[in-house]
Parts: sequence; structure tokens; C-alpha cells
Amino acid sequence: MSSRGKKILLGILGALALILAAELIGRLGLAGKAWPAPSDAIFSVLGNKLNSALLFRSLGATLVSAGTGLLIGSVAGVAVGFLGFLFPVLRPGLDQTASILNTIPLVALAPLLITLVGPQGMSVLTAALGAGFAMFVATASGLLAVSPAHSDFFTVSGASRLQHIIRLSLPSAVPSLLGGLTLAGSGAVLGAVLGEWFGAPSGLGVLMISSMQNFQVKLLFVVALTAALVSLLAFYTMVAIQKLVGRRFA
Amino acid sequence: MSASGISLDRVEKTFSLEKRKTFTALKDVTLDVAQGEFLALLGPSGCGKSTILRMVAGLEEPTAGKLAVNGRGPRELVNEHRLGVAFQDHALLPWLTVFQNVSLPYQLAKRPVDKARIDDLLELVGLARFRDAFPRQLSGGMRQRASIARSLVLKPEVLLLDEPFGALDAVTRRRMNLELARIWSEERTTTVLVTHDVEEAVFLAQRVVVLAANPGRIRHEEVLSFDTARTEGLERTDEFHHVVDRLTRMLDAS
Ligand SMILES: Nc1ncnc2c1ncn2[C@@H]1O[C@H](COP(=O)(O)OP(=O)(O)OP(=O)(O)O)[C@@H](O)[C@H]1O
Ligand SMILES: [Mg+2]
Repeated sequence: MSSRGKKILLGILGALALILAAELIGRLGLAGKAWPAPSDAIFSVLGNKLNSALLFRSLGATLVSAGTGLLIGSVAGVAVGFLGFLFPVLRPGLDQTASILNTIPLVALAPLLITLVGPQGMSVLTAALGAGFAMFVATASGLLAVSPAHSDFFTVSGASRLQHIIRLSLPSAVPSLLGGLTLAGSGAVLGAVLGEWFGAPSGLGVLMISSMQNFQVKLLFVVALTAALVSLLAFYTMVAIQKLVGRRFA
Repeated sequence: MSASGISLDRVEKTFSLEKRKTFTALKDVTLDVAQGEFLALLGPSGCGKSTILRMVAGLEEPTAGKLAVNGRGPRELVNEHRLGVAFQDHALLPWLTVFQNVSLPYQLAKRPVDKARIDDLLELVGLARFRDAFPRQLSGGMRQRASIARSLVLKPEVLLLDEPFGALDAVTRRRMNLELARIWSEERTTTVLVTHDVEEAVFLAQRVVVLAANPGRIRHEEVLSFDTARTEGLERTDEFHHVVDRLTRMLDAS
């Protein structure tokens, strides 16, 4: 078997083992009422029309926020990264601002952000922040990932600075940008869910809070699972895009 | 110092390494390549052959001495898009096809792409069937040949070739040598060829310069004036073998 095949098989086996363990713990009641058996939770939530409608509506809202945030964040992250590339004097400042924004816990930043965009805007903003940081880092490092040999060729061919940027720096950044996109996709989903905790009208994050407050353990479990799956899906979609496009640029 | 061709006048190149250490790669190199001349550089690995080419191409500055191309700084030639370079590492862009790679010099020079010329060159280096292939789909030797085609495409005034045939098999290498000899006899491009292959140097060049290492310096110059033209028969003459033997011994000793 190829090493890739082995990896996939191991991954599936690992996931199955985890699910099985979760199921056993739930069935045997090892962790008390707070840990439902996954199969039981899924069936009872999806079997309940009200609950499943609520789940899908929330999922829709989260996807819209995550998608919008991904778009805004990517454009902003790439733009800021490009700015730092064009004007190296800006670089240290931009790097520092970005890493501060990224390392301060969201809870600490939230009051400031809420005053900026209001509670409804929070999920898009946090999604954009999550995606934006990934794309900023990817752009900043990608644009500098030009191979010295290629750069030498452009220099001895009398290329202008603009040609250097457009025909060399940008294509050289593509693998890094695609790598950034894989992080940005799942980052936007997680950012959207977290942002919804701060007063969004609907979404998976809202549902998490409300089910937590109402002791709807099964619903809470399924919402968390859905959020995780969506984020995984976002990640693997981007990985697929990366494989498709990136081969040419590697 | 002549106004045309390449001239190095007591050129020295010292690289600064970490911790204020320095390394003198070339010392006191004086060398003139006349306009239209074909010069080959031979020498042990690390003696500074690539460094000489990089300085002529304007990629490195001499730390001492004077270097001029056509009586001016090398950047002038570069800015006029009249320099062709085939690097030791082929330096093809992985996201462009062979054809697109070879047409890139036209685009960088903001000139209309001469498709017929590119196809002719690809034919000449034996890559016609691979014009739409990407570099990663080619063998090392095929990439080198694409890189040579790219260096020739604008009919440069000065051509710098850094071990361009290193990854080729003997048969293809001989064919490429013949093609290069033909191109040179037609265009009379001022050419500096770096090679480890003594026969190749003697076959192609009008003059061979042998370098010694540590520090890199000129050890010997050999002007070649064979009666025979640079075609099939030359390698079978006694005269050719004598020169090759002598230069090979000199390389062994350095
Ligand atoms: N940028 C650099 N910094 C420090 N040292 C360098 C640099 N470039 C080259 N050198 C050194 O200069 C010397 C000459 O290098 P160069 O690449 O010109 O050798 P070469 O004759 O082309 O060798 P080869 O036949 O292996 O290609 C080497 O010892 C190398 O380590
Ligand atoms: Mg070299």
C-alpha cells in the first residue's frame, strides 16, 4: 500500500476509534448525563423537526457569516500583505499589528470590536480576522518566496520592477497563498461561530449558547459536531483546490 | 581596455561570510574577450567560474578592479536586453510551459513574441514535441536545453553559458555542441562558456582559459587555431587530441 493510502487508512481508523470510544462512554454513562452517546444525540436531534430545522437554519447563518468573513478577510489580508511587500518600511509595523490582533484572546478584544461593528457584525468580523491573519501571513511570506535563480534570470533579462512583481513574485506566492487558504477556510468557520457568541441573531454559535443554557445536552453535542464538520469540510475543500491549482506552481 | 567585448582588469571578488570572515573567490583576474569571440573557462570546482559569469552579467560587483562590457557597466547591456544567460541551474519558471518559458525574454523586453523563432529554437534543441510541457515533466537535460533555447532567443550580443550541457548524455551533448558551433559561426555572438569537459571547451572555443582555485586566478591561456572547421571531423584530428591532453594534465595538476 502507498504511504498516502496508509495515512488515510490510519486517519479513518483513528476517527472510528474516537467515535466508538465516545459512543461507549455515552452508552455506559461513564461521564454522566453530560455525555450523550453520539448516535443517540444525532438521531434525537435530527428526528425532532423543530430541532433539525433550527440546526439547519443556524448552519446556514454561520455559513453566510463564515463565507462573507472569508472573502473580506482574504481580500484584506492579501492587500495588507501586498502593501508590506511594496513598502518594506511598513513591514515591521504590519507584522506586529497582525500578530497582536491574532494573539490577544477574542474575549479581551470583543468589547472593542462590538463597539466598532455592533453585536450583529461580530461573527463576520471575527471570521474575517481569522481568515485575514492566515492570508496576511501567507501573502507576506509567499511574495518573498522567490527562488534566487529565478530572480537572477529576471535581473539579467532586464526585467522592470513591475515585471518582477507581476511575472515572478505573484506566481511564486501562489503555493503559499493556497496554503494560507486552507487555514483561512477553517479559521473563518471557527471565527464565525465564536463571533456569534457575542449577540448574533442566529447561527451555530447562538445555538450552542442557548442549548447550553437550557441543558439541551444532545442538541449542544450535535451543534458542536456540526461546527467541527463544517470546519473540516472547509479545510479539505481548500486542500483540494490547493492540489488542483498548486501543482503547477510548485 | 577595449571598447567592445568583455574586459576584466585585475578583478578581485571577496565574499564576506559570517563573523567578519571573508573569502577571496577571485584574485587579480585580467581577461579580455573580444567582440565575437568564443571563450571557454575551465577549472576545478569552486575556482570562481560561475562568479566570473555572474559579475559579467551584473549580478555581482567586483570588490576590486574594473569590469566592462562594450566599454560600459554590465547593467547597460542588460537594460537593452542584449545579454543571454543559461545558468548552471536551469532557472525555468515551473508555472510556464517550455514554449512560454522560451518566450519570456520577449515579454520582459516588451517585444512582440516571434513564435516561429521559438519553434525553430525548440526544434534545434530537440524539444519541439515538448513545447507545451511543464518543466517538471522534463528530464534534467531537457530543462537545460530549454534554458539554452531561452538564452538564445533574443539573439543576444553577449552569451554566458554556465555548464549548460552538464546533465546531457554524451550523444545529445555532442549534438548540442555541433548546434552551438553552428549558431556561433552564423551569429558570431561574444560567448563565454563554463564547462568541466575539456573536449567540449577545445571543440567549441577559440580560446580556453584555465583557472586555478584558492584564490581563483588565471593559470593558463590557450589560443586554439585549428585548420579544420568546428564540425564533425575536428575531434578526430591529432592536433585536437594533443591540446585536450595537455589541458587535461594541467587541470589534474591544479
Ligand atoms: N554568495 C557567495 N557567498 C560566499 N561565497 C561564495 C558565494 N558565491 C560563491 N562563493 C564561493 O566562491 C567560490 C567560487 O564559486 P563559484 O560558484 O564561482 O565556483 P565554480 O568555479 O563555478 O564552481 P563549480 O564548477 O562547482 O560550479 C566558491 O568557493 C564558493 O564557495
Ligand atoms: Mg559554477
